[in-house]
Amino acid sequence: MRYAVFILLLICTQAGKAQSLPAFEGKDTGAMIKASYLYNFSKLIDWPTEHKTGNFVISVMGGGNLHQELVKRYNDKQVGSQQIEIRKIAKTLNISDCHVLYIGSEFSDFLPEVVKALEKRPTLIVSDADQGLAKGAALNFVVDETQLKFELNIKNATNRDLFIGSTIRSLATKVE
Amino acid sequence: MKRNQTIWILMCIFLLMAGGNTLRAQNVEELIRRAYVKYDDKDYQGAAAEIDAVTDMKKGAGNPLAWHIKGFIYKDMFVHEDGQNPKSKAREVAVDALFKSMELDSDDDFKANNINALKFLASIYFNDARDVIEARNKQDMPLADHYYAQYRTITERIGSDENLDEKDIMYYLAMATACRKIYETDREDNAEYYEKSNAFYKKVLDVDPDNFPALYSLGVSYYNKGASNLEKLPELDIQDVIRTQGESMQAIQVALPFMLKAYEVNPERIEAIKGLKYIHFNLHDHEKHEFFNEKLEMMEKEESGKD
Repeated sequence: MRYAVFILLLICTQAGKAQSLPAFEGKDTGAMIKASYLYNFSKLIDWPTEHKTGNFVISVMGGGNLHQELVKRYNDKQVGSQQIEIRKIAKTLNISDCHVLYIGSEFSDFLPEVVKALEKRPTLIVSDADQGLAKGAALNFVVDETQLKFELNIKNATNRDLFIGSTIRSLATKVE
Repeated sequence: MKRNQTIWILMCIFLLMAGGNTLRAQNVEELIRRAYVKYDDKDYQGAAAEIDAVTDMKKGAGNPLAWHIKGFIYKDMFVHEDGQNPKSKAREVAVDALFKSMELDSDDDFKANNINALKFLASIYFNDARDVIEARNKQDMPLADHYYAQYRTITERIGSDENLDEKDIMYYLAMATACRKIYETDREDNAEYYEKSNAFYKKVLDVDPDNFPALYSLGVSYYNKGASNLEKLPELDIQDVIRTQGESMQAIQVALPFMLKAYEVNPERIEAIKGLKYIHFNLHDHEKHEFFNEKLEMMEKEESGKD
């Protein structure tokens, strides 16, 4: 009898060990979504012909894990016939030519200066800022309840000779 | 004459029947004795044949001793001849026979021994369920349910003082973990195991609504599903990005109440605090993300201070 009870106890403790707590897949879903948006913006916007040769450059200023996500998942992709090149840049006004410039929320106060420094260069400026469009960005990420969406200022794009396709216009939460 | 012939025939028939009954009674005892002798000699097959003959007889079928001995013969056949093979039919016969003996045993002459034998067989069923769960072979998983159900039925019927709620929780958590791990080996091929895993965690909560492992695990499960759904983003066009994001955020939102409850149940568990930090970050609730992030940093500081 005691032997049977002992066996049962042994079984119970072993069975108790058999279950373990699952691990969190600590993905930065925000960075994943933003990276995907930037890639899609690149495909849905038209640049002037002279900027359709060489690499297609996406520069990232700040933005946490965004640069890492872009490199991990989009570095080997193309926009048209152009190979994507991802660059991480520090907070600076000395910005090399790029097709897309993302400015993270931590640099939102710096955004107006960047916009001015880029003058009329055909660079799509994407911000993550309160009043980002008013500060000069063409596209600005916004959170709508729990989802990351974007708003559009057409003039801030066309002033830089960028043509925004109808798909982006129709999907933006706000179009100015 | 005819009337006398009829009476004579009837008397013969009566005598034959009375004599036959006595003979049959002697036969039942004799067969039981013979079965027992063979059992004692470890001739389990021979013993089984003898005792089966008894329990097949009308007289024998109502004899608690016959069923008691049958139970032990088949129990030992299961152990010594079948090597405790989970698929052994002998075990099932043993269980049925021992319960039948208990049913007929109005004086409880064999009760203690019957119960001990049933407890032993129940524990083997529990073991078999555990083995199936640990092997994580998809085809065999339904067997775990069968073995556990057998263990449970036996334990309940013998009126054991084992806490079956606790056993149920242990079993459901083990099955949930096994299904989750099967799912993780190949999320496409084994997609159904995601929901099976969640279903077992929810069964735990039916028994114990404040069970931390189940609450936490469901939180992680829904969060991971939402997050891993975004892996396909690089291949999607922008409309599908928006749709997929919606699906993922929905799943992560489902995770939130489970993780909150886990935290409520045990606010000192660092896993729940980390979980809430991740979930709020990904739902873009920066205020709550910061709250849990600070709490986590404080706890980690305290932990490293203790080392």
